[in-house]
Amino acid sequence: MKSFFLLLLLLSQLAFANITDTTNTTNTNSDYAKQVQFPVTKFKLDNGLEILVHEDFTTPLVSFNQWYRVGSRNEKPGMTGIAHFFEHLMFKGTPQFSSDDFENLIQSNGGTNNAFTTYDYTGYYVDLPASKIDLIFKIESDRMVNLIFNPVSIQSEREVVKEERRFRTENSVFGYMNEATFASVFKVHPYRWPVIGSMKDLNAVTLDQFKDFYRTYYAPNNSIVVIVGAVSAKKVKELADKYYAPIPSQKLPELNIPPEPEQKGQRVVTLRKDVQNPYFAISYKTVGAGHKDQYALDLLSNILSEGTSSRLYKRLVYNEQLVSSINSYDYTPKDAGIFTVNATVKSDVDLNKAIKSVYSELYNLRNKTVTADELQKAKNQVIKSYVDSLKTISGKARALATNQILFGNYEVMFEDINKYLAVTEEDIQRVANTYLQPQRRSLIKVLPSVHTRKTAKNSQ
Amino acid sequence: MKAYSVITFVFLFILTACTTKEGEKYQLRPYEQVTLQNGLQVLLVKDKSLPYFSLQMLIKSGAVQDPVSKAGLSNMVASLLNKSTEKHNATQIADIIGQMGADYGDNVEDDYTFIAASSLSGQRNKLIEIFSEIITQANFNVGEIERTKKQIISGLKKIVDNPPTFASVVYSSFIYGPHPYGRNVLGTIRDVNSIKQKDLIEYYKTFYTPNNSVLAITGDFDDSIIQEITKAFSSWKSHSIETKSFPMFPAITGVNIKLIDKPDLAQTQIRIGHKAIKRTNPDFLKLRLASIVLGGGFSSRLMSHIRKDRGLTYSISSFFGAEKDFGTFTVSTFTRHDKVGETVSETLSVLNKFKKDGITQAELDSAKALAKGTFPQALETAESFSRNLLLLRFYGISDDYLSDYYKNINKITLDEVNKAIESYLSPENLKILVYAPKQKTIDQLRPIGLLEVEDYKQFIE
Repeated sequence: MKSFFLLLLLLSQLAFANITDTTNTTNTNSDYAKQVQFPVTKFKLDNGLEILVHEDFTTPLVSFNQWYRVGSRNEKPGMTGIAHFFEHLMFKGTPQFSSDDFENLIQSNGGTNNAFTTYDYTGYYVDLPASKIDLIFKIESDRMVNLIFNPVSIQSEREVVKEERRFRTENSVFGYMNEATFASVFKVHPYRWPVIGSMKDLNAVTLDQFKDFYRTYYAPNNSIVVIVGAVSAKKVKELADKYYAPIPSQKLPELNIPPEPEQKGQRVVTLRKDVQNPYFAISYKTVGAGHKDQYALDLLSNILSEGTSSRLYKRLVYNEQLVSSINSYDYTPKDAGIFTVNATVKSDVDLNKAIKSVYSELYNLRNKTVTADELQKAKNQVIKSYVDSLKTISGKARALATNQILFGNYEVMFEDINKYLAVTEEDIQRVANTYLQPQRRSLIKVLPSVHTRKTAKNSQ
Repeated sequence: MKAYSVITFVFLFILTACTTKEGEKYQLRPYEQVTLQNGLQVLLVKDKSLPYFSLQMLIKSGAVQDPVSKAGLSNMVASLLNKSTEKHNATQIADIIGQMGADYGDNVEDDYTFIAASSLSGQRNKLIEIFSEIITQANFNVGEIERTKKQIISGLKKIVDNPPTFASVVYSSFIYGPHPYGRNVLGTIRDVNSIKQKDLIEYYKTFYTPNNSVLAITGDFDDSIIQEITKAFSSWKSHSIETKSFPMFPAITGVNIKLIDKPDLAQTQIRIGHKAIKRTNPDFLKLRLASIVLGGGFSSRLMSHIRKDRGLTYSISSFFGAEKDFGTFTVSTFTRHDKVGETVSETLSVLNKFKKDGITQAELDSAKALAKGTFPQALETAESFSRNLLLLRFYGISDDYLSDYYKNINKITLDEVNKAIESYLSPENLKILVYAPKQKTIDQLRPIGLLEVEDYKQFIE
């Protein structure tokens, strides 16, 4: 379960990356923006490592997060999946702590740990009793520089990662469709390949390539540490000086990613699989994290598909009864995002009918402003999910880390609520017109393979 | 509808954990408990740290109450609560909840049902109003029943497309046989089709009563809350409910394998297990510790042997389930088709060794540390704390379970855990469910145990 959260995080990114603040609006919701603020101490070591601390003594725990600014975005064709595969290798031990020591030490001190990789960054985290904070500084700083590369354990881990790929993609309809979606929307940008990489590349990546990757990206000046919990900022500063300060900074490579060219015509991909129901995803390239239109796009997605009062639910699930489930989200990694509507179509329904209904709802958004009530509802829902995400120390730590790693400034998160509150009905219509045009669309269909359809008919 | 159930599972799973110093009481959040005149128990957990308000209703009845040919009835009742009431239709209810930015969800388990809603604190009164209306004034409109049936049936067909879920559903029926825990909470296509309005109303009238429910109120509220709740639920009346007895858990002899054939699968799903214990069993915590050592984390025996040493899977875990009646001991994993035989036989040899030699003092100490270290997390939010209190009331276990958790974990000895392993783990008599293409796996499975093969299609007819 290293990186068990890879996909989960991908899909829920929006809940972390966006939302809150304090400027004045007439809406009572701006009071909520004040209520969700919390104090953070931030400092930077000479080697470039940035450290954020929020003291919270409500439980006797700390959530320790070490994230690196490297993900599949930094990969090259032929070496896809190396960032994620490498994340697994970070658990293979150092001269000081063997792989078994590492897991045993964390567990026998009452901690739980895991890691995940996204397009833009890789995160390692441990939740453990606050009294053990020293230990985790020792372990994390050690594996930033002293990792062992053992050909036998790499070979065994290769099979583990391939098994993970089968689990997430080959054997999962949504995983499969998600991979096809990114490959269709992005033709130039590295977001076109999946974080987990292709099977071919997973088979090919070598020990030397891993060593290079480690030397290149695992540096204090390419990393942040975020700690939330029952520990003082003063104590954290002492530990950081002791364990991280001696690690030298490194020169980081320049990354020149060509921008994704504007799409000029609809792209359609049809996949066949032995499924019981048809599935589809309709996607558009949108904006990167932090772009001003992100807020209107999130609210638009909310209006379309959040809960049983949303437009797509009411129309396709409730009234027309064409689909058994329908979702949408605007996923915004660093450089460019994807707005997606996906659905599971009922087995006796014509897929194209369901797709047409979605198009018609998107047409409505482009051609008519949403009502004030609908927009207010979407704002209430977004603020509610923001509040929910801050109920735990690990939730707070993740929100801080996401904002710090993407924007170099965690304080962005405290401005989000007011940015959402400022969105108008006209903004929703404008972003619908800017991003959700038919010629910018990718349509991915997953259809029952021919023999499945036959047997389905016979059984009716 | 089932997004909720993931959350429940996590809480149940962590319910075991504990805290810091030897012999010390774990300091719980302050809470109050009152019983209203109509018999409804109400728990109050005030939390003003963030501006939210949450209601969680536990109904002490679930899918085991479904009549023999009406599997899925309790789930359909819960699904229909917010689809029509004396005052509002489905769309109006959806709009009321949506406009508040509130969340609403139902979750039906074998033994109980949760109905929960939460909002920002400013919407408290409106949330109480609609929540009590849904629970006490649902009226099961015929058009909504038909719509919901179709929705549930398409959900049942869809399960086949999700291999881990499908494997778990079939495993459950394989292991429990005729015991009601073996049925899918969602029911079967045939049973769901046969459910009538009068069945739904009868279930609702029988089990949705104040004396069969506990309400937890959490978040930012003040002392007027009791008056508000009393008023909102004043029309709800108690009446007595018959208790239901469970049939026997079917005996398992030898190693029985069921292979469900689906030719196009890209990976094989595997479940291995047998009968475990009731939640009230005094050995509950001992088995939780044993389970941590066997398959409860990265350093567990199964993880280390099957994943780390042999690269056979990405994930393998074991769990001693404990329900109102007997839960199951289950190992869950998946692997590539050509390694199914090796994965199953290596797992069985880990189980055999585990039973024969037991665990070491170092393993026990580490498992205790993990159980205690993760305990505060299980109770971290006021809502997760409330949910734990509700479940303890369901099982009839005192809240001391939480406050004495450290103390009770600390008391457990190595000898006690090893005796519990010996009594409750049975690698020689168990059932194995394999969801895979038959042609690629059957020869690997034959030497392992008694094998039967079924086609996946029979589960969607």
